[in-house]
Amino acid sequence: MNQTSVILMKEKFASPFLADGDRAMLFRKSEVEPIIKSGDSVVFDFTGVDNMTDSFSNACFAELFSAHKALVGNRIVFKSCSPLVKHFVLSAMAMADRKN
Amino acid sequence: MSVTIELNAKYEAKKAGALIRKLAEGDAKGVSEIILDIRKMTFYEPLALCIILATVHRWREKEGKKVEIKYYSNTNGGSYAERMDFFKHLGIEVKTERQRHDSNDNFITIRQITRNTDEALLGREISSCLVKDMSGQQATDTMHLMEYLLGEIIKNCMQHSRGIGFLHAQYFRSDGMFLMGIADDGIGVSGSYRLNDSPRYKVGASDVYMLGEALTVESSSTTHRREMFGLSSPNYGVGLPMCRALTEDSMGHFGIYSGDAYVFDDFGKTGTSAMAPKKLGANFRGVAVGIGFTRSAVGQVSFLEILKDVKIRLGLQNAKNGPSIPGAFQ
Repeated sequence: MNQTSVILMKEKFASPFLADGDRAMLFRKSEVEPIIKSGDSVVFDFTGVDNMTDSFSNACFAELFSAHKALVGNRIVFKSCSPLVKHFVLSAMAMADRKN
Repeated sequence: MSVTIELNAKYEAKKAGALIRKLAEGDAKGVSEIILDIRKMTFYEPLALCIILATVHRWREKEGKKVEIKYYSNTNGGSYAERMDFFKHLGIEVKTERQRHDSNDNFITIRQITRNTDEALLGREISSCLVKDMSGQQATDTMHLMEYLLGEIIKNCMQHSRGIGFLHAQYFRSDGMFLMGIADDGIGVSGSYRLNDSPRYKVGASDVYMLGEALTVESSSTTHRREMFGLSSPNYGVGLPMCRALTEDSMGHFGIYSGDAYVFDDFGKTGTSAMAPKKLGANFRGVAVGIGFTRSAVGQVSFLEILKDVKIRLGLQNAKNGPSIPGAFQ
């Protein structure tokens, strides 16, 4: 049976401000991609996160959307996003669309 | 051969080019000893302080040059520099009985940036300090804008320089401006494109050309590195163009100096509007970035709205609300 992994982003990156694109890339490759590849679902929970950089959102999410766009909305979900955080996620989606 | 470099009394961000050209006297052929005379100093803006520190660090640590600093710590300028930890970073211990950190001041002391710097932590610390006398939504929007700018320029320094950087930020009540400066002693913009094997690097291309590339959206020196991660992961090349556009929207200025090239743009306020890089007339070996913005201009419009407008202007988004995917957000 498929599982859903809920990732608390503030705890994962120990900050309410997500800025480090290198760590974002490493996180995506080593933690998120294996979940997706196994057929499971992932929920990115942004509770407590209030700001981000484009370097972070692009490194983490644009590549993810490029590879798995069809899964967004069913097996890839974003929870508790402030309007600003939602903007960064959507912006990464737009960036992925531009690349594809 | 020894050379004495006597700096001017004042260096504002827009005069950073003049400072770099003066410091370049220490890079002349055969110079092994430099006497840097800063005794006239009355006031150096954050970018100027960082440029001096990065240059002295390079002379000493990378080129093995002997550098002697002639300074006064008991003048107004010297006292200010001492409070910013400028002398400490120059390796000078100043004995003072003065209270060094007034909790009402909106500044952080100069910080050294290395590969281990946590830009999120540092960005939040600095931003919180600079807005501590503000309140409500304006404080939040201002802090988020500053965090964004700091996060991008610190990451840029860490990711591309392969050197040591110095960062300083302050709010100047007299003219209502936030000023940030960062300068490193690294490989510079052209060096980053060359050493990352970027397809955008052109053998023999000028620093002016390569700086123009760096300020172009999706044209970072590591944008082509699709599958790497870790210390030199790829990026999408939006950081610097975003920083430049955000400073324009917040009635500020943006300056970047690397190699024999620079851009200083205050978006026409003093007739200094330079969309394209120009020759600097000297060679700044690393990268220096200075950002200023007007406090009153932030908070009139939310940071989110500024971000959306800038991204549409840069062609990073088509519609104000971006793409829509049903079920993506809970």
